[in-house]
Amino acid sequence: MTDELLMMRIDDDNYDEFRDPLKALCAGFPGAYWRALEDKPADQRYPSEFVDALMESGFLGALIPEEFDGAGLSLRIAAIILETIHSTSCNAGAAIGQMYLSDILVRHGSDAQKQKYLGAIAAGEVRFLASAVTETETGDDLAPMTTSAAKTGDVYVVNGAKQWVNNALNSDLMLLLARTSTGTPENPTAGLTAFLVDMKTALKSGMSGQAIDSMNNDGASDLVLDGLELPLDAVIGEVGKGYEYYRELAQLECILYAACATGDSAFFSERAITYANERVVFGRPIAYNQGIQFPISKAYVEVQGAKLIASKAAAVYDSGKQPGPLASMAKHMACEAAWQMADACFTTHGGFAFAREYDIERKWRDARVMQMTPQGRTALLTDIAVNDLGMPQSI
Amino acid sequence: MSEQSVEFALGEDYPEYRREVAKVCKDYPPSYWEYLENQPPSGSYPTKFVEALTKTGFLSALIPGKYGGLGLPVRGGAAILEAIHAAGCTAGPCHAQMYTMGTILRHGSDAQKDKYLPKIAKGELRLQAFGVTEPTTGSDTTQLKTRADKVDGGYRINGQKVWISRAGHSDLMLLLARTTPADQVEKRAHGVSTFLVDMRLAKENGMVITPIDAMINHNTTEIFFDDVFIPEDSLVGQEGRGFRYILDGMNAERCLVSSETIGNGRYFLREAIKFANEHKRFGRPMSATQSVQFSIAQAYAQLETADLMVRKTAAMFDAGMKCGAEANMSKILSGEASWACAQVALSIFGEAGMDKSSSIQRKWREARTARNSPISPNMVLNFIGQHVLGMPRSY
Repeated sequence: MTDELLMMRIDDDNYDEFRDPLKALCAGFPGAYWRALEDKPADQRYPSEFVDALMESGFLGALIPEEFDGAGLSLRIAAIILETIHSTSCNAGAAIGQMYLSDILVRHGSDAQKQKYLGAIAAGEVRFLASAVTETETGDDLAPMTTSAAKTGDVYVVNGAKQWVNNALNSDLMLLLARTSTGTPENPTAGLTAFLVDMKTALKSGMSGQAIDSMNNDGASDLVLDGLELPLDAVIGEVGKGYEYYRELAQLECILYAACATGDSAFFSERAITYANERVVFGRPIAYNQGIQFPISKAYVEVQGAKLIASKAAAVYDSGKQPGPLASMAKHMACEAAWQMADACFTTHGGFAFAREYDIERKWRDARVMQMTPQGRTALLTDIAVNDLGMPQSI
Repeated sequence: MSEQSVEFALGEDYPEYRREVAKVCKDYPPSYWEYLENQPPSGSYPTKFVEALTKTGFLSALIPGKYGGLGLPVRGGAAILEAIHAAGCTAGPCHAQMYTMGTILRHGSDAQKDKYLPKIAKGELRLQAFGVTEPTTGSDTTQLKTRADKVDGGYRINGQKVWISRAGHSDLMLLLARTTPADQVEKRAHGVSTFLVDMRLAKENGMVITPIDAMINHNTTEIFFDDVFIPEDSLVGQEGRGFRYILDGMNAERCLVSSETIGNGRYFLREAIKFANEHKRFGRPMSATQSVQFSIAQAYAQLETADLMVRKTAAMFDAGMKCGAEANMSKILSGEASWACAQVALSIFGEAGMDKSSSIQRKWREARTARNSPISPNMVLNFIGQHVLGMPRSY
């Protein structure tokens, strides 16, 4: 329970150069844009125009090091970018992968992979938005993964199926986790290997995808891998080390999704306060009622706390260390707080919360889903309990 | 909601002080505190513990060096108090020595500072009592009814105070009393003055202290003033400005007591994890059960979050920034987090924790009290709703 004496700086208000242009960009994609997408069939809901605008803005290359033509900014700044997007009517889910999936290439990719992709990803010319991990029988537990990649001559042949792969059908590249050998009793997640998949090629031969019609517009799809051939240089890092790489990536993912959640919280609190101050019932604004005011105030306090733990996780990451369970804590606290604020906002709006034109119910659905994915409550609390507090595996 | 930039240390700051505290606390095991609880209220003061702490100089941590104190920032005091509570001891009987003097330091005359601060620093004089609350005024402090009427050479005090901790064991008391009747002032907060009362003299002049038998051993009392004369030089600062002076000190107080609460949380978690890892139920450690494990992990995440808010508040206070919102948020976050820790610890220990020889039940009672005192969580939510979020005053 100890960590080194790292200094942490709180300077939330000093980043207008990032926030202002992002707010302006997001203003071009108001609630009506997102509602119209939700009215479409599942395979046509992707917010292409929004993602195009974000790709062009250059913000998504924040974390890619300068030597690969990225902005080389801190995770703290990346978090501020996502927080700002989510504080508006927008949702960064369709584009967030661009911000962090390439970290696996930075850390473990070959020189050729880095040279070929990182600059193009930083520039937004190549989209790296999807990671295929989950299967029917694997969620938090990746050991039972059955999708296999068999080395046959000078290719890997992949067979299996992946589920809930966000943005797979709208991405140029996809991170794929597949089994190249069986795990051991001591290490059941050994033998998983990370691959970089060129989606345009794959979808022509060996892979098919089907959009999932789900409660929120997360661009999820099911993928069937039927004899998909991947060149040997599609392997990222060492064969069999995929799980370790994925765990590293998950920490980054947690801190970034924590930022999305605190952004959502800002959206909800602003809407809730504005509405509570304006809406008159029993002859006065409903904000006068502690039954309305206290849940908003309480959730606000939780959100402020969550922002601090998320900043701490980012500060540890930016100091060059692995935040480990601290990242889990950041996501857990941020999502719980966002859910509290979402619910307070929902209650404050009464019947109008159900009306789609207010966007409360859409963001509220998003906030609930974010508690579960990526990295749900069970996985997060288990990480904290086992890896920080020294308790045994419960699962 | 804007804030300037502020920086603070993460992890075990002030390690040398924490170690020294732990050494002192070793001599005061649970049995010492249990013994005191079995004494009548008048005999339950932890005199030996307070003497031992006084010798270390820690109780004068915040007194400037030129008056013989350690001259630490508020964060230093906070780390000391946290360590005391994390060790299973309680600083409640003496923590006021640390912060009540702040009012003298900031608003007292040079003569008062020279007369009292060196002796307080040495532990020759105890300034442990803070007389604010009255039977009919709780959170609504400006309604206080105790009067200080100007007479030749001083003031005469009439009225009653309640829940004044440690009054029976203190030489000095900081007293809040009305010097101008409420109907003759522009604002209710005006016309109230702060006095530094020499209790040894006051007891000879009509001040009567009656111990209250309470759920926790905070040596709390009722005080009756029947025409008690106090000399003119008891007045701190300007007459009629006392409410302001007290408010000034409250943010430091909230920061410090929140640190004690965090310390209690650490105590609960350490004990609970050890117990849950060592005791088997249904053939495996209790901690392998998710209802146990996730409750602990959740409480820990809350505690780590609250800890950051306390650090932020201290850093802001020490930098001379306005930190009312943060101090309030620290109070509510630490109170809720520590209570979550207390509940899970008591549940895990079961009857072993309810046994009077166990510190779990004693600390559990302390943890509950900390949620109400020294400020009601409702007042915190009022403050946040009104002053931070711009909602109307609801009370």
